[in-house]
Formats: sequence, C-alpha cells, structure tokens
Amino acid sequence: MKKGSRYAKQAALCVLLGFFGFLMAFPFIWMLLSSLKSPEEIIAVPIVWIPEEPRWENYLNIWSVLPLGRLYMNSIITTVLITFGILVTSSMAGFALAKYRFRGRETLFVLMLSTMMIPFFVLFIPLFFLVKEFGWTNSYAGLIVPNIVTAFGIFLMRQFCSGIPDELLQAARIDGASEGRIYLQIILPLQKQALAALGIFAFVYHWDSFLWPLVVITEGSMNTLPLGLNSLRNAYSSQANMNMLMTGSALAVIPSLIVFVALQKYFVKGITMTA
Amino acid sequence: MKEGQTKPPEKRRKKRLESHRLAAFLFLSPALVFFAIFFVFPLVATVYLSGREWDLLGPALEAPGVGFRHYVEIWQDDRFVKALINTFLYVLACIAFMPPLALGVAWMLNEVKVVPWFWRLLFFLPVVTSSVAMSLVWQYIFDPTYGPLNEALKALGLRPLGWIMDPDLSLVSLIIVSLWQGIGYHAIIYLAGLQGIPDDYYEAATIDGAGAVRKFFHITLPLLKPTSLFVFVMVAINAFQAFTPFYVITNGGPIDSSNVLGLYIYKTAFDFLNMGKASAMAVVLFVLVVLVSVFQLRWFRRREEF
Repeated sequence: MKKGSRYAKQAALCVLLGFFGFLMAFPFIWMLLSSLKSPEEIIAVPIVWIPEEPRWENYLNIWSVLPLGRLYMNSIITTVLITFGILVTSSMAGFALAKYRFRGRETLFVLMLSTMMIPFFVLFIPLFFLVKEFGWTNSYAGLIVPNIVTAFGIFLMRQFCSGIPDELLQAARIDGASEGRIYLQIILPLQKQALAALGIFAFVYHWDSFLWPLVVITEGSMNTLPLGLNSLRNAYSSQANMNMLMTGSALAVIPSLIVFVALQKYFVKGITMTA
Repeated sequence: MKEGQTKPPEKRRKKRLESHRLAAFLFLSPALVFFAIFFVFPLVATVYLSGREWDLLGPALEAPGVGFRHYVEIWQDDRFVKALINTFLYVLACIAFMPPLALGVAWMLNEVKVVPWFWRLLFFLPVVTSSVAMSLVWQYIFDPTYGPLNEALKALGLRPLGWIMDPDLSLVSLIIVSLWQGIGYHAIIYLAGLQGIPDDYYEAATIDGAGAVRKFFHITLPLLKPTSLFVFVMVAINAFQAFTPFYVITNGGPIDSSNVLGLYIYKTAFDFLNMGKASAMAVVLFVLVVLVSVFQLRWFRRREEF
C-alpha cells in the first residue's frame, strides 16, 4: 500500500516535471524545427509545425552572412582571458583579505562587497570614455580589461580562504618559506576547487555578455557571438527570413549546450558554491 | 632570513609583520588598481557627468555645468517616467513570481527519483544558452501572426493575442521570457538549500503527526530563509539591470510600453548622445537598487524575530 502511493507520487511528479520541462524545452525545439524550414513554411498560415523537407542547406548558407569562425574566435579569446584575469585577481586578493592582518582590512572588504550592488549602467558611460581615451574601442583590450576584477570573485575567494587554517601558513613560515612561495605552493593548490567553480561561473556569465560589447565594438570583424547574432537581424529583416535567424541562433547555442551537458555536474557545483 | 635569526625575537617579529604588510599589499594591488580605474573612477565620473552637458564628442572636462538641472528635467520627461514605472512593474513581477516558481521546481527536482539528472538539465538549459539567440527565438514565438504561441491559443479555443506587438502585453511577454530564463538558476540554488536540510527534522515532524503542508511551512520555509534572502536580493538587482531581451525583442516598444530604465539609459547615452541626462538617470537607478536591497535585508531581518 505504502509502496503504491510512493509510485503514484513519482508518477505525478514525472507528469508535472514533464509538463513544465516541455515548456522549458519548447523554445529550443522550436528553434531547431524552424531552422530547417523554407521561407514559405516560416510564414505559412496555418502554422507548419514540422518542416516537410528539412532544409539542411540553411546551415551552410548562413556562413556567408554570419562569420561564425571569427565570432567564435573573438568570443573565446575574450571570455577565456576575462575568466583568467578574474581568477588571478580574485585568488590573490581573496587570500590577502582572509589571511593577513592590516589596518583597514575590514573596511576595504566591505567597500569591495558593496560594489556588487552597483548597476553596470552607473559605470558604463565613463568606462566607455576611458576605453576611448586608451584607444581600446574595437579591440580585445577594450572588451577584456575593464572586466578582469569582480567584487564577487574576491568575496568568494576570501570566504574560501578564511577556512584555511592559519597553522598551515605558520608552519611554512617556520620552515623559511617566503610569502610568495606560501601563496604559490600552499594556498593556490588548496584554492583549486573554489577557483574551478568561480571560473565556470565567470565563463558562463561573460560568454553571454552583450551590453558592454555593444558599447565598445562597432566594427563587424571584432563582433563577439552575441553581437554577431544581433547584427543578423539587420541582414534578415524580413519575416520570411526568420528561418535563417533560427539557424544562426542554433549554431550559436548548440556547441555551448554540448559543452554544458558534458560538464553538467561541474556547472551545478559551480553555481551552488558561488551562491 | 639567516640574518633575521641572529636578531632578538622582538625585532624579528616586527620585521615579519613588515614583510606581511608588504605581501598583503602586493597580493591586493592588482585588484586595487583595477578597482580604482574601472569602478571608483567611473562611479565618481558618472555623478560628475550628471551635472554636465556632454555629448561624448567634446572634451568631458570642459563640458558646461548645469547643476542639478538633469535631475529636475528627467521627471518632466514622460519617457523616463514611463520607463521608471515599467521597471518597477517588471522588478515586482520578477520578485513575486521567480522565487516561488524556482522553489516549486527545486522541490520537484529534489523529490523526483526517475532520471533526476535529466530534469535538472532541462530546467538549467536556458541559463547557459545565449540570451541574444534565445531572445530571437522568443521574438518568433510571440509573433502574433506567424508565431506558435497564438497558434496554440487558437487550438485551445482561446483568442489569439498581440503579445510583443500589444502595448498592454509587451511587458508581460518580457516577464515570461525572464522567468523562463531565470527559474533554472534560482531552482538550483534552492535545491542546494533543500538538500542542506537534515532528514531528521522531517522524520521528527512525521512522528509528531505533521502533514506535508505543515512540514513545508514550519520546517522547509524557515530553514531556507538565508537562501531566500539571497534569491530575492539577486532577483531584484538583476531585474533592475535587465537589458538584452528588452533590446532584442521589443527595443522598448510598442510606444515605450516595454521601455525600462536600463534600455532608456543606453539609448539616451549612445543613441541620443546625451551623457549628462543618461548619467543622472543612472544615478537614480543606483539609488533605487540600494534602497530596494536595503529594504529587503531589513524585511528579512524583521521576520527573523518572529
């Protein structure tokens, strides 16, 4: 009897999850279906749900309008370097804030923490001015450099480093290790897990970055993936070309989905750790 | 180091402290330099610019000062007031719907024993996919003439709606997109919170004869309070800064019905080249975010006392 009700509960859960899960998945399904349609099918009334004859050539033709290789390269270079910068600065600053005593430490920490509340819109006009003065518009530097320090990363690493016992550092100092060596040989290896979580989080976040690239990039050759997709709207402004927009979207989304599915465990760990 | 060993202990300690201070400074310096240039300076500069008339092209320092005029004028700008109201409605909707939905999903994900990884994956997909790409897809889904949503409504015997083309529904459409995109992320956070609650609590409650509903309100919800606080604050902060779906799907339209502060600040700055006015609006946005965050913290703290 009890076993029966447990099965009933699981069945009910599966039905519910199936329903909501379908709603979550529907945009992806719709994107893939539409990317294989012909222009006539896109604007057909009543709607054509499944393309009669899948148009795989959409996936070839899109390359002439959307320089996917270039877009991917720009996005990868930008995101990897930003993530690397965030890891380096957060790791060192987090360690210093957790393990050294100096005057103003708490104040500094609270100040850094409070910057997490600052909306990007409060910063981006002067940031653009700076980048322009440095001559960094339409460059990787302009995309990367303003992003390589985050209060969030420093906060995370400080919290993590606070859990490392002081005795470990004392012992190393008695053995005559310099502070630099302590950081490189003791702290850094211990931080590995937290850095992995932060890295994943930063990568996902900046891979999707749109507003800042929109501000600093005006040349098509420097477009990142989100900017490239956005510009696709101008190339295919007619309704009947919506299939090509879906094809472009699919080509931007599918690789990241594959990476995500392969690394799902780490993503979830990264998110929960950073929360 | 060898030299230090011959010195009296007092001096040695002092020297060590000195070297610690230097090390701390060196470890902090990259972060501090970047903070100064890319946070502190822009923050101060935005406040400065909000009192100037600057079009981005001329030298910023020589821009004529206008005092608080921008702060007065924005309230006479109907577009700003409309954007402000829309922002509030949008933030409220996100706060009202996102946490309960995410908690509901997290609860289901926590209870289900059949392919749990698959369900988790499904809800998490929107979080890791390109916002621009999915905004394009949603634009198509909401299309009143050719989109599948209206087709589904018709199939159910309901009236098709204007969605993103309808001034009364454009904001609603964007709220739907935001919920779709954000639920997975916050559900994962709630899921971690749920898994942190020891089973003993529930077992004890079962022995005392508590039903599922009572258990939820008297054990689950109170113990999830820290998680909820984080979720509420993050949802609000992010909602205030929403940009991409608004820019791609409706671009604020039709007739400003889905214009929000972030989008209007962007347009004022980089389309209309009115940096002073945009800065003033940004400062207002900043104040709002701080006020709402502080209010939420207080509210949660007060409820703690019960």
